[in-house]
Amino acid sequence: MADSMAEPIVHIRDLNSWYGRGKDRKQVLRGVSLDLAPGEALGIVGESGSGKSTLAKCVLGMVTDITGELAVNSPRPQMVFQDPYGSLNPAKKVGWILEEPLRAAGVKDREERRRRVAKFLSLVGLEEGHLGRRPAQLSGGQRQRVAIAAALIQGSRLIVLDEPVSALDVTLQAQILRLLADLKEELGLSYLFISHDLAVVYQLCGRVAVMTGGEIVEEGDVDEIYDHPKHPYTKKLLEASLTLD
Amino acid sequence: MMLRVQDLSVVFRDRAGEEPFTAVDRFCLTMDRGEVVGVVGESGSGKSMTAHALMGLIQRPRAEVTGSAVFEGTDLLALSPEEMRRYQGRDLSIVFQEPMTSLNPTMRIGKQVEESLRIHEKLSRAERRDRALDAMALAGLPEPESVYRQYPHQLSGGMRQRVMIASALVLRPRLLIADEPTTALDVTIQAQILETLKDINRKEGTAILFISHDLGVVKALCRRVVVMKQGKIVESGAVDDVFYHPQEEYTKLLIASRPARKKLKGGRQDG
Amino acid sequence: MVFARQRKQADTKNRKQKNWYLTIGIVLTACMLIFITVGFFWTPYKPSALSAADREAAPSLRHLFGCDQMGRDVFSRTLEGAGSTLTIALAVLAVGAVCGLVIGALCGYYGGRLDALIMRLCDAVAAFPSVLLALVVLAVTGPGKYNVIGALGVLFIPSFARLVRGEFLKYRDRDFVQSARLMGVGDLRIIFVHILPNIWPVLLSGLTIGFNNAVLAEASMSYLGIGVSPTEPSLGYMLKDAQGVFFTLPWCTAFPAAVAILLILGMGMVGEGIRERMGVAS
Repeated sequence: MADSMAEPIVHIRDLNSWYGRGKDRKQVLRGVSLDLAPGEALGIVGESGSGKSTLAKCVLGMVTDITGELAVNSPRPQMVFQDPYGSLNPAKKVGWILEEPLRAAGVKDREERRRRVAKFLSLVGLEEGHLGRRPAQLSGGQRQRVAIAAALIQGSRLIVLDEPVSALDVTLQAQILRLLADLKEELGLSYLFISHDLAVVYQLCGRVAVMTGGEIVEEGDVDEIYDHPKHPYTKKLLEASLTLD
Repeated sequence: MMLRVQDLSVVFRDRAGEEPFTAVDRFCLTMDRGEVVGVVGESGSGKSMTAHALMGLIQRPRAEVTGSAVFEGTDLLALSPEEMRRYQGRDLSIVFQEPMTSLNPTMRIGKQVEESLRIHEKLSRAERRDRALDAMALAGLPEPESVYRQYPHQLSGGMRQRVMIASALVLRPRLLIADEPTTALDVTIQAQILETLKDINRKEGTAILFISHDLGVVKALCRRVVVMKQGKIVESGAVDDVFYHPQEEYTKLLIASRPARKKLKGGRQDG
Repeated sequence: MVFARQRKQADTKNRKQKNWYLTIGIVLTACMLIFITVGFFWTPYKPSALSAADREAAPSLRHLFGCDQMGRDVFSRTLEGAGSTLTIALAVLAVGAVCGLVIGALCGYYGGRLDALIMRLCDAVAAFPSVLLALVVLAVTGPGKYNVIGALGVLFIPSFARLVRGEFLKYRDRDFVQSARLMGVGDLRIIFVHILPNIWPVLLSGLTIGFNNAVLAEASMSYLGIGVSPTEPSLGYMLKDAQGVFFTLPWCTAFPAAVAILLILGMGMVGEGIRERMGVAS
């Protein structure tokens, strides 16, 4: 299936990665292969220590001790972090936080920056009034909206979402997931969605890869995997996820 | 009836010139022996504060705890801190969310599990050890003898939480308060811990008051549930009634917000 | 969340209301600064003017702090001495803090072998009492205002470098820093624009401690007679001078000492106030 794609935005073949140095050097990823098409959302599901966050870091170029093929076909892929309390600079105001990526991208004209900030602010459902606030004066959901706007504002088409709703209350989770779905449609984004929660992944992603022990043990259409899981680990994960039905 | 909580309120008045802040507002609940009741709510709903108030863990100077909580004929809220200490751990116990910070990193597991035995009962070392090993087996720790001699850092998060459960159970309390005990754990580990709690309830008849933000977890474990929002009870009743036929808007919102098996379509027009 | 936020707001308000340390500290320091600034431009008498008639005069309206055994006005000399003590302390602080900040920031942010090497070097310097080391340096370079500033300034670098390095270690792997890196923000901008504002409170409170240490170090060195030249007395030098008349002319010791103590006390309280405030911020 992957071969038929026009040009994948992420192309990974036999990716291995290591952590640490010398005697402590441990292998984290073992022969990971995957493709992400433009405009697609791929879920990476696994528990702590499965290597899913390392895979995300590899895609973002934050891990250098790797072997294998890794091609990312998007300028400056960005990441939305799990903890909205840690991902925004506590010393800065929202306006500054949103302008900074533009300054880094070389947008010199102040008016132009303001204009783009205003556009993305409304895209993520925030108001002008929020610009003058510091992160500590925002709720968790508002912070995550700011983090999403900051990730999008440079015009990146590939966004890595690292458990973007796990730290939020359920009612907020639903709002943020809704927002992510809308933004994907409106801006034609590609998502690599890292999560421990199959149900959350199901809502946003068409395809899912299940990871454990640094390997992808099963990959495919979400419905297929939900209804006919093949790998024992996937079955175990599905059984453990608690629904109300 | 084992526990009857009436009009439990927790009000913070410690700041001069500030509006008093009501963390828990007239909470009522009755529990029978061996019953498992869930309390769900989002952050700030007062669910944890309720649990802490019942355990006498809220320091009086910082807060005002009013109402009554009659446990086997004794009003827990009327007890002095010294009297309360005789109940803590022996008749009612609590397990917290963070298995990483609840254990002393410099103490062997066995010692920590035995701690409340040392305080409440006069036993020989061998007796204490036997009781601790029993509790550890009950909490589902494999090879209790070897875990007994280990230190917290040698255990995984799930194992640590089992150690916490073991030390909460070592005196065979009649009521176990579990404050988000599985929130910090992976889902497969969470499922195992929930099974263990069910086992304990079945074998020992320990009543469990289970505090959680996760409706799915409460559904898996409890037969009765209380939904809280901003310190107040929104709705309560049998789990099946509340979750399948919610009466209140907030409960409906909570249920609708749960990641269910539905696809989110982009585009705001259908929003 | 609502709960946590309300609590926090209340806490912040409360700290602000009750932060007497900061208020008193700022008032005291401001008074001292006004006192010293006046001394730069005006003194009732020429600090070095001898007056035979007023030798050993007790404090009076004519001579607020009395006169010393040579008939010099202690008030005028204290004004001037406090001025030179302050200038030296600030200069020492500037050398130590600026170098310490740059070294600490780079070491903390980049880490690695150079960091390990520099930190061992700092350990080595910090292992000696700073006044003793300064003595050695001054024995080589000779006394004088600029030599004192240079010697003490260098010795103040390790403590600042260590403080700043620790803070940078704490922040360099935070999500917001990672995120800035992903956005292509340069390292220097991350260090000085993204991380530095977050450590201001810690740095400020470090500066107040450093200032007090600098005042004390300068005073001790002058007291030992290797500090400033006698033509330009500092508080420490005056104390040394008054040693012989401690019992007969107590005002010669009491007033310069009191000024030094108030200066240190004020700054110390500002530092304590900042730390108290910081408890909320972190």
